[in-house]
Amino acid sequence: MSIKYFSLLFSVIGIACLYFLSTLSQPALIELNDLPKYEDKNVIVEGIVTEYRSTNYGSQIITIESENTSSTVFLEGESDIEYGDKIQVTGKVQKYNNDWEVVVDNVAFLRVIQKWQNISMPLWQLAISPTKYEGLNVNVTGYVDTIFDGYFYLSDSEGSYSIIVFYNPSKYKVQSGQEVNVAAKFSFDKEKFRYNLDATDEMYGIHKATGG
Amino acid sequence: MLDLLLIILFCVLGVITGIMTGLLPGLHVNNVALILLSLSGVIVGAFSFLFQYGITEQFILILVCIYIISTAISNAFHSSIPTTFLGAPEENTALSVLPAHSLLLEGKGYEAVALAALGSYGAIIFCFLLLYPLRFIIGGPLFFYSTLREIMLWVLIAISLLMIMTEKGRVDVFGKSGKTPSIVGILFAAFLFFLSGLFGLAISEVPVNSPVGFSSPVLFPALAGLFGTPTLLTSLIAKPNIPKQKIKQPKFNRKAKKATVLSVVAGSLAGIFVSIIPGVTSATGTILAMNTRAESDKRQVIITLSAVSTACAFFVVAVLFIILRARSGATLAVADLVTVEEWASLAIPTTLIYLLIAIILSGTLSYFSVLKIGKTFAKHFANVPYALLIKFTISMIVILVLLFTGILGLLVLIIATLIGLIPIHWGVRRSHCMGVLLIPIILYFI
Repeated sequence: MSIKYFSLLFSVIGIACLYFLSTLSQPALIELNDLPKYEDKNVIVEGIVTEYRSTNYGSQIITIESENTSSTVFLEGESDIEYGDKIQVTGKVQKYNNDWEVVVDNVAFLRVIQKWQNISMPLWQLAISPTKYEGLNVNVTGYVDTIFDGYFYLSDSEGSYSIIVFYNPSKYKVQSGQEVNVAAKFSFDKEKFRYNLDATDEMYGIHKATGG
Repeated sequence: MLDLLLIILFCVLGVITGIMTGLLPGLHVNNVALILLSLSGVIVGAFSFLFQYGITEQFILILVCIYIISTAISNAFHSSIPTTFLGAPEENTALSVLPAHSLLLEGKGYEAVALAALGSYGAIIFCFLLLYPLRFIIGGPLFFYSTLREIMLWVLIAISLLMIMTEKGRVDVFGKSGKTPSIVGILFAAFLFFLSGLFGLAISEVPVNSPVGFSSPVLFPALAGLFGTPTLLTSLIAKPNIPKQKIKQPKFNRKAKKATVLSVVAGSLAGIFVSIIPGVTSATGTILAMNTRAESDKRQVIITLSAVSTACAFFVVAVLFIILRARSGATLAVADLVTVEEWASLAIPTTLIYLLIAIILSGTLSYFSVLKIGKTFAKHFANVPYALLIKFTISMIVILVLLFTGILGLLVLIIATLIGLIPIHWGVRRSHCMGVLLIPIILYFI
C-alpha cells in the first residue's frame, strides 16, 4: 500500500483509538489542593458545601471544603444542595481569576454523597474545630442540660463542652438529661461572642438519639 | 548599563537558538518556549549571582522572555532556508515552498533567501510603524478586538471556509478530466480539515502525563506530529537533483520596488490580522495574504509570505499587551513568566518596551545572519550532512515528546504524523490540519 492510502487509513484508525482511550480513562479522584496539577483535565473531587449561590444565568457557584482547603465548583445548572452536604463532582479543572475551579457541565455530574442531616457528629468534634463548621448545617449528638424558655444547653456526656441551642418549644419537647440529635445551623454570635446552634427554622429539628 | 548588556546577550542567544529552530524544520519555537518555561526556575537560579549587581528576579524573567521572543523572530527569518534549499517547510512557510524551491532549481536559491529576508525585515519595520495606530484600533478607543470577538464565530468559520474553498490541489482518484480533480481536491481539503478537528477533539480527553513531572501539554505532540515530522520524513525520502547555485543579490526595477512594498504591506497586514484571532496561525495568514494580493510573480510571493510569518511573530507580542491574550506558544510562555500589564494608556508598558527592543535587535541581527547562512548554504549545499541533521531532529522530537507527555504522547505524535502525511502525499495544503485547533475553538464559541 502506498503512503498515500496508508496514512489515510491509519490516521482514521488512530483517531478512533484515541477516542476509545479517552473514554477508557476515568477521571481521577483527587484532593482539592492538587487541582493546579490537573489544569484542563477531568477530575473528581469531594467536599462539604460551605457556600452556594445561583447566578442570573441559571448556574450555581458552590464552595466546597475538604482537608482545610476550599475550592469553587462552577455548576452549569442548579442542584438542590444545602449547606453542610458532602458532595462529589466530576468536572474540568480551570483557572478563573487566578483561582482554581472545577467546571461541571451538567447537574448529573454532581452527586450528594451524604446529606448534612446524616453526617452526625458528637459535640466534642464541633468544639475542637468550630471554624470548620461555622455557617453550616450540622447534626450534633449530645445531652440536654439546663432548659430555658426557647433555648437549652446541650452538653456532652462528661460535661466538658456545652453549647446553647435555640429551638421551638411548642414543636419539640425536651427533658433534661435526654440524649438528642440536634439538626441546626451552627453559627457564631458576634454580639454575645459565642457559638450557637439555631434549630428554630422549619427545616431543622431535635430528635431523640437512637442507639448509642 | 549591565541590564542593557544582558538584553543584548539574551537577544543574541535567542537569535542563535532561532537559527537552530529555523534551520531544523520540526523543531519549533513553541517547543523551545515550552522547555524554557518549565526550566525558568533553574534559569533564575543559575543567574542569581546577578542579584548582587542590582538585577532583580523579575528582570531575569524578562530576560528569559527576551530570549524566547528573539528566538521566535530569528526563527521566522531563518525558516526560509530549509524552505528554499530542502523544500521542507514549517507549517507557516508551506505555501512558499513552490516558488522558493523553483528558484533553487534555477540555481537562484540564494536570491530566494534574500527575498524572504527582505520581506521579513520589511514586515518588522512596517509593524513597528503601525504599532501606535494599531494599538488604538485593536484596543481603545476603537476596540476592534471587542467587535471582532462578538463575531468571532463567523470570522473563524469564514476563515475555515476560505482555507478550504481556495484549495488548488487536484485529487484525481475519481477521474482525471474536466473540473472533477479540482472539486474532489476541495472536498478532500474539507475532509482533512474535519479529520484534524476530530483528532483535536479526541486528544483533549487523552490523559497524557509526563513521566518526569513536567506540565503535559497534549498539543505539543499533536502539532509537532501534524506539521513537523511529516516534512522531515518526506525530505528524508525525497532527494532532488539541485543545480550549482549562483550568488546574486535580488535587483528591483521601479515597478518591482512598488510591488515589493505592496507585498510587504499585504503580508504584514495578514500577519497582524491572524495574530489577533485565536486558533489561526500565520499559515492561515499566508492564505489570506495570497488571496488578497493575487500576485503570481514568484519573487513577490516569497516576499509576501515571509512578511506574514514575521509580522505575526512581531504582533502576537503587541497583541499580548493590548488585549492580554496569548496567541502563540512563545507569548503563552511570556504571559506565564512575567506579569503582563495592559497597554491601556499612551505610554508603552516597560516589559513591552524591552521586548520591542529585542524584536528590533534580533530582527536586524537575523537579517544579516540569514543572508550569511543562505550564502554558505548556496555555496556548500552539496556538502551539508542533511540526512543526519534530519534524523537528529526527529530523535529530538521523539525524546521531548516522551519526556513531556509519556507513551500516550508518543501515540498522539504517531497519529498526528500520519494525518500530517496526508496533505503532502495527496497534494493539498497542509494548513487544513489547523482544523485541530479551529474546530474545537469553533465548537467552543457555539
